[in-house]
Amino acid sequence: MTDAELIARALVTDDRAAFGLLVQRHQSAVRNFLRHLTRGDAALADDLAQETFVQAWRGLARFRGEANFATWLLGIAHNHWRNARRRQRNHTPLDETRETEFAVPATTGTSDLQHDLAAALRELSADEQLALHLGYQQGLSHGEIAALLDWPLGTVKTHLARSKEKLRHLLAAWNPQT
Amino acid sequence: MEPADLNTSANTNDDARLEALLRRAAPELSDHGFSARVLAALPAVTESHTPALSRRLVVCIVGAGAGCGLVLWRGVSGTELESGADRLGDALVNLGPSLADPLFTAALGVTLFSLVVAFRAELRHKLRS
Repeated sequence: MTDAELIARALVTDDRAAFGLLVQRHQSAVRNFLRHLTRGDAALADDLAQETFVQAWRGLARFRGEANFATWLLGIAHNHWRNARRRQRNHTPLDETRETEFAVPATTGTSDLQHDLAAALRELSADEQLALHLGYQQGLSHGEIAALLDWPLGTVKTHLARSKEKLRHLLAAWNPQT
Repeated sequence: MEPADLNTSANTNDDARLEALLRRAAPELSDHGFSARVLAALPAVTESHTPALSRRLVVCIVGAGAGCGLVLWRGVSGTELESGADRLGDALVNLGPSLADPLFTAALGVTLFSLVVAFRAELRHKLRS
């Protein structure tokens, strides 16, 4: 069953099981995105992810289908994270320039390349990491990233191009074929 | 070992390899009861799925109030209002014969049928509950 069909069932008949299938289908993407934003704080990310899905349930009627459902969810998640950060900032000052965590699975930690990649990614700015995460880990198009983050399209393209350029430079010493 | 320069001739291949690496870096998180927790946290009544009647009523009242306010503010006289009301009354009286027109009845039937078809799922849900 497609996302659109599940959404219709959840909307028309308040079918929670249908919404549950949507949660199962998209939980990994949303939780990964929030883990990235919270710099790997899994507990906080999961709390925010739960709030994201509850908010999505409440606002399901507002989903018009212009965007991909997954992208819509990531937009809600991003708003929740921004609100949480604002609340947190009121209590403990946050370093705005601190970089976000780029998800690299622990299972690949043994690979030299993955290790080097993780280290190289940490050299990028938070915005560059975010653009890469959305573009490659979440598979969003440039337009979708621009809409989600409220960035101009040119900024998205610049961040992606610049971050790849930096990564190429940082990983220049790595050569798997020799 | 000569390190590969990712900015030179193999640029396209390296770009593809880099992109593949970045895509691979996304771990698939297993659910581990997350969905169940979300479902348990959902509000009991999905009041916001359909706009509440009260909200529609408020909008109507505010709109009507704004219209009346505008009329009063523009200084429309009592006689103007009376003549307007008379004209509206005449129009409603003239509507009677039109309603008796079979074509008009057919058009009304088609409209009603279309509305029922368009909102059949909601109607079925309302009738069931």
